[in-house]
Amino acid sequence: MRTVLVEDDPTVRENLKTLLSIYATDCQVIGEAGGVKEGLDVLRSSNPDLLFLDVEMKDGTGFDLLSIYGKLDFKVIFVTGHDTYAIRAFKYSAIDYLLKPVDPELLVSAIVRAKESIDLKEQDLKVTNLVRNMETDRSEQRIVLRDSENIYLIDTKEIIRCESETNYTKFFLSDGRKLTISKTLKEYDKLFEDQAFFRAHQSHLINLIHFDRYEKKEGGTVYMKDGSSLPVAVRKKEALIAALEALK
Amino acid sequence: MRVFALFLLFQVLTFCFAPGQSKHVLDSLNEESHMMGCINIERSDSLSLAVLDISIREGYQIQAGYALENMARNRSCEGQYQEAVELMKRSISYFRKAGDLSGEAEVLSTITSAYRKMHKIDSSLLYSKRIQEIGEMTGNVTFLAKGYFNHASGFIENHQQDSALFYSLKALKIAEDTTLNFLPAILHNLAISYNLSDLLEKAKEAYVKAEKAYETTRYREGLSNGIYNNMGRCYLDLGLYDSAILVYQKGLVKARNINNDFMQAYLTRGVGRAYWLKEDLDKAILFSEKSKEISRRSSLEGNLAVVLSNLTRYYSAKGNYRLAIENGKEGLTLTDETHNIGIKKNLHSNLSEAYEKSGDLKNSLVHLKARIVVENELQEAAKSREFARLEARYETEKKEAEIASLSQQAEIQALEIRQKNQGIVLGSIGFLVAIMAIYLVYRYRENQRARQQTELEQRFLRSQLNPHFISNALVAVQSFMLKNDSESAALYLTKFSKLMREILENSRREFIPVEEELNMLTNYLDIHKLRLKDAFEYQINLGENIDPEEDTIPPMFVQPFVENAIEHGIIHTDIKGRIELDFVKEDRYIAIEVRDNGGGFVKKGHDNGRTSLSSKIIQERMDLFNRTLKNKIQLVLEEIKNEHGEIKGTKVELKVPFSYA
Repeated sequence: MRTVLVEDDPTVRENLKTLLSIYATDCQVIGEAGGVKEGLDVLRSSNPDLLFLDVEMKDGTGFDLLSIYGKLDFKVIFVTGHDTYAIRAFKYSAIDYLLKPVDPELLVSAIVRAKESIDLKEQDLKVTNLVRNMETDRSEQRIVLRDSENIYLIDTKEIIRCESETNYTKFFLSDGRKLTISKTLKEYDKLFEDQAFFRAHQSHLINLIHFDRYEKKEGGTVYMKDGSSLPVAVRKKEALIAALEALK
Repeated sequence: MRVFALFLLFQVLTFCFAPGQSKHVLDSLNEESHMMGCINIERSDSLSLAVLDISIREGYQIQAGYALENMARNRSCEGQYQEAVELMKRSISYFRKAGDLSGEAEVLSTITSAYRKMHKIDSSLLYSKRIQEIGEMTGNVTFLAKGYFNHASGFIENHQQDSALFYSLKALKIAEDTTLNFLPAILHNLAISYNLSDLLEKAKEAYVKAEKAYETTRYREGLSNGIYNNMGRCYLDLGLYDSAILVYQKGLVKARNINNDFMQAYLTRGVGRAYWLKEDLDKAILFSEKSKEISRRSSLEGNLAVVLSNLTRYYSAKGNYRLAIENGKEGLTLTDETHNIGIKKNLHSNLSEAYEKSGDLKNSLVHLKARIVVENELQEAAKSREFARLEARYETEKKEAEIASLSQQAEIQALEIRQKNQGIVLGSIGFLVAIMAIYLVYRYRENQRARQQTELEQRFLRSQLNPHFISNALVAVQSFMLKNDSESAALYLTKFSKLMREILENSRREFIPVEEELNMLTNYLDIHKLRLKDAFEYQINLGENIDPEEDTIPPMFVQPFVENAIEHGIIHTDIKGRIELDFVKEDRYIAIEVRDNGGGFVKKGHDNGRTSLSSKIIQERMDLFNRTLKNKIQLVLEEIKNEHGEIKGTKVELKVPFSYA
């Protein structure tokens, strides 16, 4: 695969090149760049199959680069430090990423996935969403969800609530659809920390935008605007009230 | 606090005017009281009271514990179990305070039997569990066995034969390996457990063994534990009537020898029943009448009611309906008082039969109906017993807490006894409360401050060890390794770990010598330099009037600004970077200036969130410091511009107070 590295730390570039020469001999590095502008030039002139892209660079971010480049005709693997902001963005769009320093094993599996399981259309959907999310407000974020057959692009504000079903999470959407995704509720609880979501119960995560009312009797029940109701864990009552206050 | 200590000392002195009593004398007095226990109760009590008084005054906890135990035993003998239990709890608390586990175990063993007598089985089980714990803790198998034994006794009272059997066997296993003076009692429990489980042959075997053990050890409670009565019943159940009669008779001889009417009454009734089963009516009536007589003489109402019920049946079988009905009616009058509904049911049943046989069908029907009513009552009672048992189980947790608080109770009790000198005591309690209140408020504030401090410490630590710094450092190490430059990798890793260590240490201190701060900064700058392949150089100028070993400053206020100079100044310029640090002593401050030739404050990329977080924490730290310092920390940020107004770098001036180490 013809490979380009866009990464502002020369050490990381060196490391990547060495790792590729050892673990992924079919990747030939045909170009490299240390910033957004330089990167665009290299990409336009070299027409690669695979791009390793850093998130934070001197003259902008990797997201900026993709946004300017437009429709992608190559596969992208993101490389980042421990930036919680960027990592959340990747998770929202179900995009793989590598952490620095790069783990050779994860590098190999990321290349295999880029080569085989993701087609350009799917990548385009995800990256477009990533770029769009970066440019829009927190309350307007969209999340990429995937079940065994389909890929969905869902506005987080359209999610009424999520319910845990062992290792799966069931999403209840405002248009009445129900999606079952093979990730745990805990993962979404963590992901939606930047949203107005609240973990009311071990098996329930609710979007407070759709909160209707709380009834104290029978140990506490939350009613959502769609008419559904669910229990509130005893330990969560105070936190729920605090979260609702904060939302006002 | 010192005033309070003096106050207490004064109190102790006033109490010490009595001539000092040695522990030895107290021990022998306790011994004497023990010997008199249950025999000469009055004398035993007065001895114990005296010992208790002196022991508390002199602070002899073990002696106080035994004195209370002696008093408790006397109350038990008088049948005042509630009072006995209270005294024993106090006794336990003294043994606890003294750390005397064996003393505690002894008392616990007595307390369990008192609770059984009061039919508070759950409490009994709770305390026998504690005996087992002590046995486990001390490795003393005797206590362990005693714990098991008392546990089994509790379960027997509760008619939980499976558990009773389990614990009896556990106790027996220990008893087989060691010699225990209560082995006969263990065997007896085992026998009863088998008996309750309807394993009659096994029960019989155990009874025989227990009886033999009682004989050989002359265990004093052999008779009062009722082994002959229980054993006789077992034989009856087995159909061995003659053997049963022999056992009853044997018990009777012993009971007569010590004039124990209670046992005589029970055993004689047993003989009567044995003859009834043998269908020897005359003898059955003879012995039952005898039991009736003894019961009347010693007002043993429980036994009397049963005997009367038996006699109703026996006379009715004999055809003597008049006597049958007479006995039955007397029995009913008695049970109306004692409310023993189990026997009441039998009486009605027997009376109904007697009337029926005598041809008085109307009265027969009356008693038959009464029997059904009583039967329902009995079922209700069983239900509510079950309910009570469940409820008691919920109470168990509460009681556990109660046990835990016994030690504290002891202290309060000691104070109570001193109430003879009420004025002083009340005064001291008031004083104590006031001191406590002041102390609690003080501690609360102290805690609050400490918590704030730790929280800041942690956040501070996080800000220094910012994830980017760590991942950058590790990327560099990985790079050296990939290039097989193990020497550089090792050097780098050493510097990195040294820095980590310094940061961890310094985050806990309020002031550190300037020298240590310099070491850390040099280390930090070197790491960046190594990573960025000498993209910058640095220089640290130390003012001549600073003594780096003696002058101290708050740690790590400078490092975030150095990081800023590198990450946002140097990296974004193409010329060779330069960072200068000046340490100058001014008046009451050490002024630290950080200068770089980078791109100024205008930040690029998406770093802003992180940078502002780190400077927010710097601000918080400054505020916290400034709250306690007379000379406040000051911070000045400015951009360095050339004559044309172009930004040529950044200057940070930080003034931190110094104090001498």
